[in-house]
Amino acid sequence: MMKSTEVFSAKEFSDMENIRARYQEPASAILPLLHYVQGAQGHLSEQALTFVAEFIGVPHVRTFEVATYYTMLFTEPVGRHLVQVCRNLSCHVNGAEEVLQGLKRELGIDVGATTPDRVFTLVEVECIGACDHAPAMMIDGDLHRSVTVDSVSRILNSYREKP
Amino acid sequence: MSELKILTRNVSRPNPAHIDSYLVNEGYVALPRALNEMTPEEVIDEVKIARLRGRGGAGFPAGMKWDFASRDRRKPKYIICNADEGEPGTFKDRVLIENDPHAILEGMALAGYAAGAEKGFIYIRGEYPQGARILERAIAEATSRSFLGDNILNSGFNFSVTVHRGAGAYVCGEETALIESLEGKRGQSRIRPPFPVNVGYSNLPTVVNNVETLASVPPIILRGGAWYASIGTPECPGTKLYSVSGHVARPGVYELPMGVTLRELIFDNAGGMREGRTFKAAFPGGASSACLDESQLDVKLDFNSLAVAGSMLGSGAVIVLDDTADMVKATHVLIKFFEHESCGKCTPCREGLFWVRRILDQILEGSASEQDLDLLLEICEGIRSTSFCGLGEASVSCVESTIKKFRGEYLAYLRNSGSGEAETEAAS
Ligand SMILES: Cc1cc2nc3c(=O)[nH]c(=O)nc-3n(C[C@H](O)[C@H](O)[C@H](O)COP(=O)(O)O)c2cc1C
Ligand code: SF4
Ligand code: FES
Repeated sequence: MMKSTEVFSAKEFSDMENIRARYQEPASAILPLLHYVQGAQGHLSEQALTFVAEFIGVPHVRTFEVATYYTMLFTEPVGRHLVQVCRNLSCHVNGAEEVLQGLKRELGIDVGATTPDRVFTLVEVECIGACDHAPAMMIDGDLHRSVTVDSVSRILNSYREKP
Repeated sequence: MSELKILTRNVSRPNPAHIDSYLVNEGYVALPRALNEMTPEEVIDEVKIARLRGRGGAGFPAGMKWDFASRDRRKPKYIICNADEGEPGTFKDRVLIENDPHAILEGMALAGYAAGAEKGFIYIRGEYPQGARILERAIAEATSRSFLGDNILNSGFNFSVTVHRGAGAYVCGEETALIESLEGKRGQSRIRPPFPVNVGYSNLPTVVNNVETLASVPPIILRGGAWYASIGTPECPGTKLYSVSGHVARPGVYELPMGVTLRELIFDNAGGMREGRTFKAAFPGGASSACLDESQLDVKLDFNSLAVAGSMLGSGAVIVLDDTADMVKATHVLIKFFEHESCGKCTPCREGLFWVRRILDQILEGSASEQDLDLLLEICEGIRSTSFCGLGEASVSCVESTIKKFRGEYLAYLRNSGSGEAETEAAS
């Protein structure tokens, strides 16, 4: 068995115990725990995934299987801020491609890449339910609506200093 | 036809998500009435009289679903509110989640009472973190006032709700994939039957209903099923939240009686087309639906009428395109979506969508021939008829319908094959 202190702080571990306690079926806590760990540590390390599996009492492979299935979970480190641009139809016909080009220029990276200073990772996502204000993008948990090429740099700048 | 605000009655109130805003407008009146004056069977009967049909896409009668679950003797039972809202073009559940979370909770508690469940989950897509926070707060408010929790309003009925966040997988909106995901697995669809009403979460009886379906329940209990059934069309009663997006002047969510026509929705409510532009096509039920063209503007937007028209209502996500739209590119965008979201469990969907996307790539690049169009349709037929779940089945509707209705646009790309000018000519 892995010790929690190898991977988590005391506070993190107690938060995780609370999350687990919310479910009668321990395995149902896997996804909430992975969300939590990723929020706290930025990504899901091999160690963290192994620990969560043992914490829940499932084979190690189970948490790896889950972590690699979902688009929003990352098993490799990503930038401090995750820029997610919608590429689906309502955004596409309202200028999402230009916004994406603008973001690439501004960040100097391609889709899927992280800036060298590790501040931003740029990804394309499917419809984020903001089609009435297309084109839309999300940075971390924040929704940005009706984004234009001109507003891209201002929006990015507001994140540069944020933790 | 103008808006009829039943589901959206609270949306424009100040601080709409707060429990006090909900209470001043007959909030949590239906729940005590049901608990004190009605048996679970009577609640089910009222929903049956209302002929409320599921708003998540399939249009299955909600009363019947609850009845099936209530008749199953095994316990515990579960109510799952499907708030995964992943169908491209859909953003109506978000409006309810963010502005009227208590209507959803009250609907869930009523469903729990009717079906005999004491535990509810709200599976909300990972991309709605704010919605998840609002729901958590609403649950705390409702619990502190005894509308949720143990022995609700001294009735002896217990019902608690847990918010569960998804993590970015469209197929998890499919009810069996959702249940797999909720059980802490990869969200891949299960074979149906057995249906979740008998074999759901932890293999126990589980009612899965869409956000909008559940939010429709308190008004039905309050005003009666007959009142509800008098709205909309006889086969599809009630109001529907239509998410309108794309090339209209005023995109947004519009609540209208079921059976409003596409023309009325776009031109009377969503502000018509943008300045100087004309209507070309619409996908009336999101990415999964077959497109409608100009000749179908008077089609009624309800489950039955759209099925007759060769398309489907789905979640009511109406994506409108004007004369600037390139239908081949639009189809390519949608197919890339399905290819990305295919869960990989079955071959027709996993491999077939890869090939469909590849051929569309080639058409757009100008390196395809007319035979490839036939091949494309052949592969689509294979995917549609042999896929394991609804994702694969519906994924090719966009290809089939655009080839049928806008073949000329495909041909324009094909004619220019090899000249390297395909794009410019087709777009001009
Ligand atoms: C690929 C796919 C995605 C789906 N996504 C959703 C969704 O996001 N929300 C939803 O309520 N139903 C969705 N459904 C429909 C559900 O499987 C199910 O029919 C619905 O949640 C039942 O609730 P209702 O009867 O209230 O509509 C989806 C179905 C399929 C095949
Ligand atoms: S049809 Fe597609 S999404 Fe559904 S089970 Fe098959 S591969 Fe998975
Ligand atoms: S298509 Fe971009 S938010 Fe829906």
